[in-house]
Amino acid sequence: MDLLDRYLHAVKFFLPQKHQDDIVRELSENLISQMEDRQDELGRPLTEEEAADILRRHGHPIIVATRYRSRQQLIGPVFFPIYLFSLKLGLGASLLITAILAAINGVLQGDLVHYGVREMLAFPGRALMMFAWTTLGFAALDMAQARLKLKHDWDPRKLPKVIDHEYRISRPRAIGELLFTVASLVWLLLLPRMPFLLLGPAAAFLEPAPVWPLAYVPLLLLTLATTALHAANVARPYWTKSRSLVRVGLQAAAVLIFALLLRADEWFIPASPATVWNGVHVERLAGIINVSFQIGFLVVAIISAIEALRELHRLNVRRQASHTADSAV
Amino acid sequence: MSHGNDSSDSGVFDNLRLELRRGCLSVAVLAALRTEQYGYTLRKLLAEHGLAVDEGTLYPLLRRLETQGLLVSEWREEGKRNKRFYRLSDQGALTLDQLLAEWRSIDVSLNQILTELHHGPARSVSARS
Repeated sequence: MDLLDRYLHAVKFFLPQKHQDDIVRELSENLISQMEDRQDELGRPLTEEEAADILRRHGHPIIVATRYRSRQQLIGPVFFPIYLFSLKLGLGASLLITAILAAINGVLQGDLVHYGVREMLAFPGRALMMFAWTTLGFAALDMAQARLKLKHDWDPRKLPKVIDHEYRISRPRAIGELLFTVASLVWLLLLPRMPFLLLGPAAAFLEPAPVWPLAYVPLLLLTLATTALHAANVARPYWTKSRSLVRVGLQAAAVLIFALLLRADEWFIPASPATVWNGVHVERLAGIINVSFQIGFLVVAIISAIEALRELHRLNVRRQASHTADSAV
Repeated sequence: MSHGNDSSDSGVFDNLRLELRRGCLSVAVLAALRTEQYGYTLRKLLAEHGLAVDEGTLYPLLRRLETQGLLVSEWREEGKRNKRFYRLSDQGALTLDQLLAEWRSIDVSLNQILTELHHGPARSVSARS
């Protein structure tokens, strides 16, 4: 019976503590009865191999014990597909954020390879945390669902609408845009204290012109609103009329802000006009930088105007399509 | 004509068979326990009636049915050893009647479907609509 005792001991280890003794006692009786029956059939005591065969067929101790547990999975089939999707999304986003942070840190510290790689090495830890919290969150959700059950009085009319292909926004693209605007927001917030993020080494002898304090807050608000729009696109990746209108509004605001910036003649002025840097007079350098910014602002204003017009055109096309569909019904 | 590889076909069959038997097993256990049994003899009884079931499935099922109030159990001595005997509770008897009615209704429906498919042109969905 040494083999049986060892088997029962192994099963007991994995059983729910509250019922361990009771279950083991019952299993023991059933197995002894089975062995006695076999002995009666053979007319002799069982060999060790025969006893082992009965136990083998009874099942591996871990499998036998888990069947006595009421909860046999951490996340059930209802939530598993959403869990898997969230995990992929979270890991992808965490990789992207790490890459952006690595790039920013590398640029700020002036050594892209060293600081960039150091930041990237933080990814496994970050990914592990993401995995752990997502799993814990879904396990808790699954446990709550198992207790409450999904409500029977749910309303099918509250299900999300089926979105036509042309109205859909690609989720990876929406995530990419969101991360880009978040990075832009961080960059914009750092700019007053770290002008070299915009001007590079020239920040040491150039100062922002008086137009910047006027344009900075509108630019910040515009970036904030664009981030909110992209966040909405990630959560619900399809175009709605209101979101199209917001987009038109944001593009129009961008045109106005860049037009305001363009009204100024200069955007950067030399801190001390007599300075010479790398053999170039700083006043001349400021002139070159101002022309570059003028061209840049003009291009951004034109692109924003074109985007606003394109969005208006799309809105119009959708409105007409919707009218046609209504009249067809 | 082959519809795929044999081993995967048999895997699909095994899974479906398992699903089919899982539901039936609870009914069979409740029915068998109208007479008191302990785990091992119950398993033998089921096997003798063509419903072989492994211990790893049967013994936890007995506990679950007891927790649900469909079975009652007691430890009693038999053959100089203590054994846990199970039998149907009053609630279990009531549930068994309901399950058997359900079983018969499914059987009738399935037979009707099979008869219709074999003997008469079944009305197609498009013909109906």
